[in-house]
Amino acid sequence: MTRLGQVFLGMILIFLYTPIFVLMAMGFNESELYELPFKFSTRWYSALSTNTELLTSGFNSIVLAVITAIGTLAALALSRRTFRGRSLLQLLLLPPIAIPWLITGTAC
Amino acid sequence: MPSKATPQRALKGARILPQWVSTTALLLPAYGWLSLADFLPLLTMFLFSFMNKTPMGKAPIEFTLRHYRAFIDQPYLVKIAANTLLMGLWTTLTCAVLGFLAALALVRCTTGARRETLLILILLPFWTNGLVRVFSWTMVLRENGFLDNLWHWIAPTAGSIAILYSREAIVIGLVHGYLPYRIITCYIALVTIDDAIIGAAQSLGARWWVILTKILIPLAAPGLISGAVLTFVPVIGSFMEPRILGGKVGVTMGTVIEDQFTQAFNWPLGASLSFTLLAVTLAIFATFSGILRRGTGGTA
Repeated sequence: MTRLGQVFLGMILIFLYTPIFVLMAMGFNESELYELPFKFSTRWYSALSTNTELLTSGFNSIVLAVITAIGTLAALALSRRTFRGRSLLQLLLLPPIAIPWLITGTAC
Repeated sequence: MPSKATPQRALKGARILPQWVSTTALLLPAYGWLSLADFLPLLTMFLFSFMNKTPMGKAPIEFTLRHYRAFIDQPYLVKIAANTLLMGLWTTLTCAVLGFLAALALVRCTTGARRETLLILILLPFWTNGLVRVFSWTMVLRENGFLDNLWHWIAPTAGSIAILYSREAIVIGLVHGYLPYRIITCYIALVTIDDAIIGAAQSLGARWWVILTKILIPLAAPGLISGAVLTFVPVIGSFMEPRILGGKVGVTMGTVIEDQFTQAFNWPLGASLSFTLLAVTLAIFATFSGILRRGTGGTA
């Protein structure tokens, strides 16, 4: 039984990582359009290191990711405290998930 | 986790600040941000959904309910909606089965450092960009792609197994996106179940399916359900995966709505469709939470 579980986990990991590894490999592929057969090249990585626009946007992403910590604060309050309007606040979390994010973005 | 403060500390905390102040302080940043970045735009969109056309330029705006009649006026939308719900159902179901089994295997078949490594490995793909992951699936699934090449290497004479641009491809992409999340929620639900309960059941002669259906699933139910809701809801609004992996068959409510915004420039219709979708989602959610409240004795 233990063996079976481990084999199953292994299969799940293969499923999760197949596209990631293919993607990593394609980063080193000469072709722009994922063409096979594979030809090794580092031209995309050297292009990346000189692209300041991409580097700035990468930094912006990091800032945004840090800001999501405010969600943790709210989660603390919602789980540890009881107060009036708690379930309403929890319900309010659903629309932002359910509405496709493109729409929220457009409206902003 | 210091869930219980020592009496001294509790006393000190109470003297400095009443509890509502700290509760507000914890909630304010997140809900302030949500108001600005989500609720306000969504309210604007809700307003747009009653307008006769996109509010750009100087042409007068009239308010109308006709966009909410879209499902009656354009019957093909009903079929698309049904397909979308089906896609959501398949994705949620696949994720539920795979996620539960994987979490169960983690809890019962691994220990210590190995389990921690596996958990991190499961979470890592979740940190890669969604759009990029979807594109890499196109490389894996397409004709002459990774999977097809592998298959031809094993069975040179067999036909192609490329399934890009099909419903299966969409579900694969979506399951890949949400599975790590589901494994973790199931894992958290399962790991809190006391081993002694299972040991007691076993020693009294319970078979594995009895343990599964009478102990593990009922006790893990709240986690399983919230995981299912948090998969189903975003999946039926998704448009990236259907568009990129589905090609011609990838017409879902998500892509129809996206088209209204990016191609047809009919924001009111797009907005009303997404609010209809939200209403349907909330209805499903309400129905299920009612059933589950009865099923699990009011804990869900």
